[in-house]
Amino acid sequence: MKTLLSFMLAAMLGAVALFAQPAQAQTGPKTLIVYDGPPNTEFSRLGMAYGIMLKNLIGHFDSNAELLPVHSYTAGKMQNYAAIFYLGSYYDNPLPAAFLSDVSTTQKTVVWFKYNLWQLAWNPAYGFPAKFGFDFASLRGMNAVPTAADPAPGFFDTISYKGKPFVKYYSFNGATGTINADPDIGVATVLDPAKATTLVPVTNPKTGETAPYVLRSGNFWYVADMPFSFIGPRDRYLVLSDLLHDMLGVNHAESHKALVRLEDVGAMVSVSAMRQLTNYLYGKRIPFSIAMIPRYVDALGVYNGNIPQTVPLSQATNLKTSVNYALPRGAQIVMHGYTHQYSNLRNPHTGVSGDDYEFWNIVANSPVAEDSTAWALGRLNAGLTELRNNGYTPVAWETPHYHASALASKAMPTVFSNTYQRVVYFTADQPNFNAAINKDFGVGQIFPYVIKKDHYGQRIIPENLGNIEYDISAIDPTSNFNYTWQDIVTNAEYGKTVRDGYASFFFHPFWLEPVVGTPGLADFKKVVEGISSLGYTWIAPSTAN
Amino acid sequence: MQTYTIRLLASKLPVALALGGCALAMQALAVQAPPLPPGSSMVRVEAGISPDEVSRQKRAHKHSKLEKKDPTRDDTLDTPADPKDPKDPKTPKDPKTPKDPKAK
Repeated sequence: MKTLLSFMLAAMLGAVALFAQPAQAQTGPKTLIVYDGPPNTEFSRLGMAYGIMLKNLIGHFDSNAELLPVHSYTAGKMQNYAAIFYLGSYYDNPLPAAFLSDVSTTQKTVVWFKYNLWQLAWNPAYGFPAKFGFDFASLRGMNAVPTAADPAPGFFDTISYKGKPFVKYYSFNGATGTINADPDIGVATVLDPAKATTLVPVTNPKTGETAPYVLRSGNFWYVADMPFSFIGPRDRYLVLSDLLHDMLGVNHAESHKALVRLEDVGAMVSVSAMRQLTNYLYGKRIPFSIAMIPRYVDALGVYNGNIPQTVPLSQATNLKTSVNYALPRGAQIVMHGYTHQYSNLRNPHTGVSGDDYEFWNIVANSPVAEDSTAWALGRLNAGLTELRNNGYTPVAWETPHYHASALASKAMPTVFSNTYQRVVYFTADQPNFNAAINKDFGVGQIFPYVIKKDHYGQRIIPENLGNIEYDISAIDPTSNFNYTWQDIVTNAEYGKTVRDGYASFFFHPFWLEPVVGTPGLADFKKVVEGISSLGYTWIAPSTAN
Repeated sequence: MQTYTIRLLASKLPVALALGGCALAMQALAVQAPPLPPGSSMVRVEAGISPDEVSRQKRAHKHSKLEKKDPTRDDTLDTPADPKDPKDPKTPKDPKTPKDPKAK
């Protein structure tokens, strides 16, 4: 009983502490991110997208990094920062002499990614090889042009780190002749091992070759790749996420926390499924959260005989019964949209709560017609009012389908101290993805740890493992692939390579409903037990730090 | 003293300019980029999460029992009672149970 009381007290105190969080001055290292932004090309803004992703990761270290296109760099600027990151994403982008000169002489930490190192290393004016003890050798990418007969000729795709192989994404579309991958790396050669050390190797399994993936020489780091493309829960992006501690000189202690969230819990939720999950977690004294949709809308009446239906929280007996049962048993509430659908549009599925996007028109791949920070704020406040009027206080926000416009995402931190999610970032508030030149990019990002402040001002509690899925396309065409409990646990194994990496997953109570016929509860238990056995400690989202 | 300094500077200026110009010229030296690897023109890079992860985030789940479901009523009342669970409120009282005072 004493354990139970302390468990409930800790959960409640956590929730109170969350809302009492004062704004704090940032104390992390002052950081400059320099990226390729050659004017008036198709990919002028791609470097900025990578810059935003790096800036977000640096937000873990209580540092608000400054973004700067390299062509705007002025002599001496880097002396104002503790660390400078250059993202070489544009092949042979001409770098200003002032930038090259400062990089070659500064004592500040410099981290150089991928392309264009030859402009520094091969120019005798900078004496790079002698000073740093390594040289740039060549660019490597695909071993050969893929064909129908040999669709995967291979490349340097396997990064070895902390005993794990991190394999880069690769897919070849023979019909269009498109390689969906980022195979290029800059190959460096160590000349003086007393000065330069390979910290992480990358191998080319088809040729048997090995090259430095991350190399360090004093204050200068070289990362052979751009680890912000095709990222996922087992991607080499995690290697960088961990090494940032060393690059920035902020060494967080080894610590591994776990989070579990019950997803898309709205008016149509099964009370029985929620009770079974709650009982299981409560029995193990595992705190958890419920991603709650305050208002149910079936705008087109898809599940109501073509008669539009709205269920306010005050009338949602199943939902309130489920949540009221879970709250005293270790649950916290996360507000998961207002309606988790948009207007009377199939966006893209049904127009029904839980199915569709709310803050992004996924059909047109654009912001919704009403998009503005004020419009988003109106929905956030409407949802909050609905929750509070029924006695509920959320500890965090989660964007439906993790996809909102830039203006909507900027609204979220003005209302919520915490978000609990993945995020899509844009290179403009009104992005144009189809422009011939200077087109915009939207990039989704996963976080292995808490981000204190992201590009939109959000504090982010991570969800980095994904969720169990079953192929039940025979009864639900939109549920058409498997993602198993083993997948989630394997993702958690990779998450542990980040020294303070989380194991955070979510689960749909839907999978316990008998009509679906899936082993939802059994598999859910396997995930929980698998993550526990890896040594993670379960926490409530309100205590994530 | 000032005149001497000016004379000294004037005498060294051509050398300094030549050295400085040489350094700038060296820095401005266009370095030939290494060639791009085979198949580079076929490569399409996706910044951010992979297409597989994108598709996993678009989930919607539905089944036929959700049609016409009444969310205002506790759905556990709609499930059949477990006859083996005496605590289930939906389990009808067995009139033959001796402990039931109403049993006859």
